[in-house]
Amino acid sequence: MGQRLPPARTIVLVVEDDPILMMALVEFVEDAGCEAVEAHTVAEAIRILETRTDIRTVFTDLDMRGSTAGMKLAVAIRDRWPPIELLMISSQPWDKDQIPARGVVLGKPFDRRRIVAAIQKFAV
Amino acid sequence: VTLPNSRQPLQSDPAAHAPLTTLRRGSTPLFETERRLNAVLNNASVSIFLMDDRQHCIYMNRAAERLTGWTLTEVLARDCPLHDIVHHTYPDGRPFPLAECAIDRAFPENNQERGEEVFVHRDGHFFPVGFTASPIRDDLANIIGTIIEVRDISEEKAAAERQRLLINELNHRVKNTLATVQSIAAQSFRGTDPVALGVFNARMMALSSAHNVLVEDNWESASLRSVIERALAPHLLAEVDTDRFALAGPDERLHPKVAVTLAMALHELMTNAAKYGALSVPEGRVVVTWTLQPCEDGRQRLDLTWRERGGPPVTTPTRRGFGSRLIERQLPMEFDGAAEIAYAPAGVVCRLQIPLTPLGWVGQETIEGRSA
Repeated sequence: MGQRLPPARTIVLVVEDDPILMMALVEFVEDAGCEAVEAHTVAEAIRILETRTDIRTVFTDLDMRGSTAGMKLAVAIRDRWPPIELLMISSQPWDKDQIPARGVVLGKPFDRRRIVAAIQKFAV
Repeated sequence: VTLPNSRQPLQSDPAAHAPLTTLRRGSTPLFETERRLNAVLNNASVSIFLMDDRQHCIYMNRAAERLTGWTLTEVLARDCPLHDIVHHTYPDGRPFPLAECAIDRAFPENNQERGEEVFVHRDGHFFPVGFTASPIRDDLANIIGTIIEVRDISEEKAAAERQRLLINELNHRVKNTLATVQSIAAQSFRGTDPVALGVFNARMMALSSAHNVLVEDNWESASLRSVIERALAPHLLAEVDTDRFALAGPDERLHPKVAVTLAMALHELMTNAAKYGALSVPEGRVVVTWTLQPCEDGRQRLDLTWRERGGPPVTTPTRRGFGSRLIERQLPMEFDGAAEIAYAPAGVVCRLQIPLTPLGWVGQETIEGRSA
C-alpha cells in the first residue's frame, strides 16, 4: 500500500488472420513499448474484448480474408466499446466517412515509423 | 415486287430522287430499293430505328425487334414516341420523361449524339445500350427525323466490371504481398543491422509508391511527372525550403515497366543524396531536368539529368551498391538505353537516356499501341 507500482504497459489487441503479417504487427506494438494480445479472427477479437477490460487500443488489418470483416469489426468496436482507440492498416484507400471516429488508417506496405508513432500516441 | 439483282446499281426510279418532305407514314410508293434495304437492314447485327419528327418509330430492323421484344407492327400500332416504348423508366424505377432523354435531344438540338443509356425490354428487364443518334434532313436542311443505331452492351459492361474487380484485387495483392515481404525480412534479419532493414523498407515504400501511380490509370500507363514527384515525395514534402528541388520537363505517359524502374532509380539517387550528397546539408540543391527526343526508330527517348549542387565534396565510392548497379547496369539493359553516374566533386550528376517503350502489353502475346 502506498507503494508505487511500475506503470502498467498499455495493452493493444492485434487482429490479423495472416500469421506472417501478425509477426510484423506484434513487433510494431512491442517497438512502441506496448503489450500485444493476439486475435486471429474477428470472432476471437470480440470474445477477448467481451472478457477483458484492459484493452486500450485495437490494431486491426482491414484486408482479412479479402473481405470487409476488419472494417466491420472496427465499426462494431466504436459502437460497443467507445473508449477503445482504433488503428487500422489497409492495402486500399478508405473514404473519411467510412472510418469510425478517432480511427486512424495507415497503408501497406508498412511505414514502421508512422505505425509505431500512432500506437504510442494512443497509449498516452 | 421482286428482289432486284444485288449487283445492280441502286434504283433509278425518278420517284426515289424526289426530295423527301416528310418521314411520316403515308401513301408513299414502295420502292424496289426498300426490299434491298430491308435485306441489308434485317441482316445487320446493330439495331436501327428510324423516327419521324414526333419521335415516333416508323421503322425498325429485325435486330431492333430482337433487342426490344417488340415487333415493328406493334410499335407502329402504339403510335407514340419510341421513348415511351423502350425507354420509359429509369433502372431505379422512376418514370423517365421524354424531355430528359439524351437520344431525343439529337432531334431538337440538331447534333449527332452518342452515348450510353439503359433500355427496358418488353418483358420488363433493363439492359445497357450504346447508341448513335443522327438527324435526318430534308433538302432545305430542316430536320424531319432521326436515325438511331443501338447496340446491347451488356457483355462489355460485365467485362469492364470484371476488369475493375481484377484490378482492385491486383492493387490489394501487390500491397499486401509487399507487406508480407517486409514482415519476412524483419523476422529473417532480426537482431542484425536495423539501418539495413530501414533501407530495405524504404525501397519497398518506393516500389509501392511507383505502383500507386500506375493504379491511377488502371496499370496501363503512368504520368512521367507524377512518377518523378512521387519518387521524390518523401523529401519534397518534408522540405521547408521550396528551392531545394527544381523539377523541369514535359509530361508524358510511361509504360508501367519504365515507370517502376525510373521510380526505383530516383529513389536510390535521393537516398544517396540524403546520406552523402546535396540533401545531407541544408544548403544543398537538386535539379532534375528532362526532355523528350525522337529516336531513330520512331520511339521517343527520355533524357533525364539529376544534378546535385551545394553538398559536401563528392568522392567516388569504392564499392558499387544496389542503387548504382540498378541505374548503371539494369536500366540500360532493360530498356536499351544509357545511364551514367558522374561523381563530380561539386555534386553527383546522373544522366539517363531511356527509349520509351510504347504503351500496351509489350512482351505479351498482343502488342496494342495506344495513343496517349
